[in-house]
Amino acid sequence: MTFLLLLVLGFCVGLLGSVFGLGGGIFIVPILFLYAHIPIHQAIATSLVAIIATSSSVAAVNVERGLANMRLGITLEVSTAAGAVLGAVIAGMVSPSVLKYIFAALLFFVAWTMFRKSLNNARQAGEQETCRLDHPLGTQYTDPATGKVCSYSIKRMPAASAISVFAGAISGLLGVGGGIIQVPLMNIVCGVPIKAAAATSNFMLGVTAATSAVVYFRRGMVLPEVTAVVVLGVIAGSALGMRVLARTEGKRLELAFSLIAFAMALKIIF
Amino acid sequence: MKKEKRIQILISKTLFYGVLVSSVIMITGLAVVYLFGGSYGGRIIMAGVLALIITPIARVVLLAAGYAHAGRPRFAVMSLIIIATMAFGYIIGK
Repeated sequence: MTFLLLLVLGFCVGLLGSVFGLGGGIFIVPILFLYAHIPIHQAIATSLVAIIATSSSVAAVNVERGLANMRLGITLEVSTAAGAVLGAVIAGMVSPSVLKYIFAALLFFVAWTMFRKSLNNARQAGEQETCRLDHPLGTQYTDPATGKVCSYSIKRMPAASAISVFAGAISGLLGVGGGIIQVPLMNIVCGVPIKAAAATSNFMLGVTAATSAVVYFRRGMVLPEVTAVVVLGVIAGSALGMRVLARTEGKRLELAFSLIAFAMALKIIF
Repeated sequence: MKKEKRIQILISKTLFYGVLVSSVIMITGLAVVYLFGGSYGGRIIMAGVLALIITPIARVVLLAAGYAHAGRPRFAVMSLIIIATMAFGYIIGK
């Protein structure tokens, strides 16, 4: 795979990441593995570093805007970090072919989730009836698209923390950020408005990914040139995504996202 | 609330400069690889990768300090637990 294609891959992943609050690992790993013929463990390592890039560049903006809930993020990071260490350790013991099938299963799950999302309406800001700002994790933010101030409280934290351990383990095992679990988790379980959930998830991804990236880095699995090119693409893509796509309608993107994930899962298996 | 805003700005800047510095190092490394080849450029790139990995770690450390300073020990302690987990992962990772 050439320099330019890797750069384009990173760019597209950065764009998607900034819109959905995802790190984009779900696409980086299979593309590097299927089309660039990079061994899956090295593809995972590259993906983790790219996730840190997406997360950090998008969160730099969202944190200042107050869209990312840092207190909620830290609380859930305690769980995702523990899960990430566990996942990275397990990954070292699993053979590439088993890892491949686990990844395909995750892609099917993502395709299904995104397909359902493209049909339904996610919980929007202002739906909550009980807004207790005295809750230690509750906060408020100004919607960048409408300029409206939205406040929200947090529900069911123990359940969210438990599920986050699983999200972290998936991250460390498969080189994805875990945003695909974190965004709906915060939205549906905790009652966080979708935009704040996406921003908080993105804020968290960097730490989850760094926790397992450290393990892969130590094992010498990071490929310098491939990683640098993908990461630079990601940074450019997320910078553009923050400006352009953050305000666009997400439904069609979600459907496209779902179809791509489904096609990749099939390609990995067959 | 004012203290929270100050922490937000600090974290935002840390993330921004972390990405900026690491991408400059990586571009330099890629240029060296492209112009001269060999492993030297690769090592520069790895320094950039390391700077990128350190960025979120630095933001956890700064959050610990920021929340301790703002009188919110609960979140400072949580940040410290995250750092300890990362260190644990590094130690057992080999």
